[in-house]
Amino acid sequence: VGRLPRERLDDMRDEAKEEARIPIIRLYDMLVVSIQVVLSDDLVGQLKEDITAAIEKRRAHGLVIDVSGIDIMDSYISRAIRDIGLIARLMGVDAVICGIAPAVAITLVEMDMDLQGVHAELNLESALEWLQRLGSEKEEATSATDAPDGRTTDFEALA
Amino acid sequence: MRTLTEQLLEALASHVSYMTASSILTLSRSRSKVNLTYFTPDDSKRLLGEIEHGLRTFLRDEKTVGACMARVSRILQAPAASRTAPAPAEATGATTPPRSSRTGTDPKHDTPPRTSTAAARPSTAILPEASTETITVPIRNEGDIVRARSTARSLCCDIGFSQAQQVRVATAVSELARNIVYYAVEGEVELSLLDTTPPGIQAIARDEGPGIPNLDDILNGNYQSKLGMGMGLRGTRNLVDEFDVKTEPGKGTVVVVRAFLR
Repeated sequence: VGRLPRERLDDMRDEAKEEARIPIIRLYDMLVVSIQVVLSDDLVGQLKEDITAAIEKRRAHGLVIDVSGIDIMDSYISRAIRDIGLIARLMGVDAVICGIAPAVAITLVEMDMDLQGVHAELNLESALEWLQRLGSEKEEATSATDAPDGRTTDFEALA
Repeated sequence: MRTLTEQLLEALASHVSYMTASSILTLSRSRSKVNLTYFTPDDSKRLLGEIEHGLRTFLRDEKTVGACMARVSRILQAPAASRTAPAPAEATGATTPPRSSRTGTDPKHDTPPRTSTAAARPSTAILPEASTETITVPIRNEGDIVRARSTARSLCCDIGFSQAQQVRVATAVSELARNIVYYAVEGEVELSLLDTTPPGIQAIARDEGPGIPNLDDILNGNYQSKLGMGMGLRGTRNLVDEFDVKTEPGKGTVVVVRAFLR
């Protein structure tokens, strides 16, 4: 019996095991979440918890939610993604959604769901740039008020 | 009513676990790029190759692989009449199935060439009532929502819908299936191709749940649900060309949506 190449076995295993956590990647001082799987209720719940935990623990200043892997966003999925963005903002982290496919964008608008309240960028690159710009603007504001501790400024920004 | 997918799954699952069978089939379909709605003998050969490859990953015994493959190939070669969803090519006995007559139609293009649409018509016209392909997806859990919308999308792709149209219909189906899971617990989504000019797709979401007491409020946008954005049904109406809801409190709900090639 011929053995299959390793990657093929892995492929099959991945297919079988649909439920897995969505990884949260730390990049500079930002968190990047790339959703490449079908979002289920469980997965969304888990992701919300993981993201809030990561924000608290790693003191990131920005969160990127990359949805380029999502080919269909119905009301539930778009709501879940918007929730994650809003939760991050409540924790003092700027969140940005990127990679919405053209057909998905059209559908969202036609359905009257525009992910209100969460900033969107075309792709991962522009999302990271946007966060960096925002970060440096905040830094300038910090040096202007002459507060060396970033934490105090974050607090002021929230107030 | 049993679809080809169900039959293939059953055959595979008699030798490996259901989970494994399902992943083998999914992977084989995506690797061979074969659509189980329309396929040529060439397609089925490729699909069989992939399935065999997949089976060997899980089965060591050459005999078992052989037995399983024999069953699978019998299903793929079975006359269309024995299936609920006959492939048009087999039903007409035509040597060129609709698939190849559409080769000029790249689903990514917004407007398929007129000629290819016209060429597909004569072969479908001879068909008895089987001109509409019907696939019923039972809806019981979240996984079924995904199944329903991917099936809808692949049907849309088959008849040459643009990307945006595919996503519109798939989203609408997803929305309807989700309503069933959340509010009615159990039901089904029936997907069929419409042999109209221009061709279209129809989805019927059926359940015997509690019904929708405040249908008018929902459709007018005066109602915000706790689960979605309160826009599921209203959004669905915006995405499709035809939309009809019949609901009776305590009896159930039937939603019919149709979209046509633009």
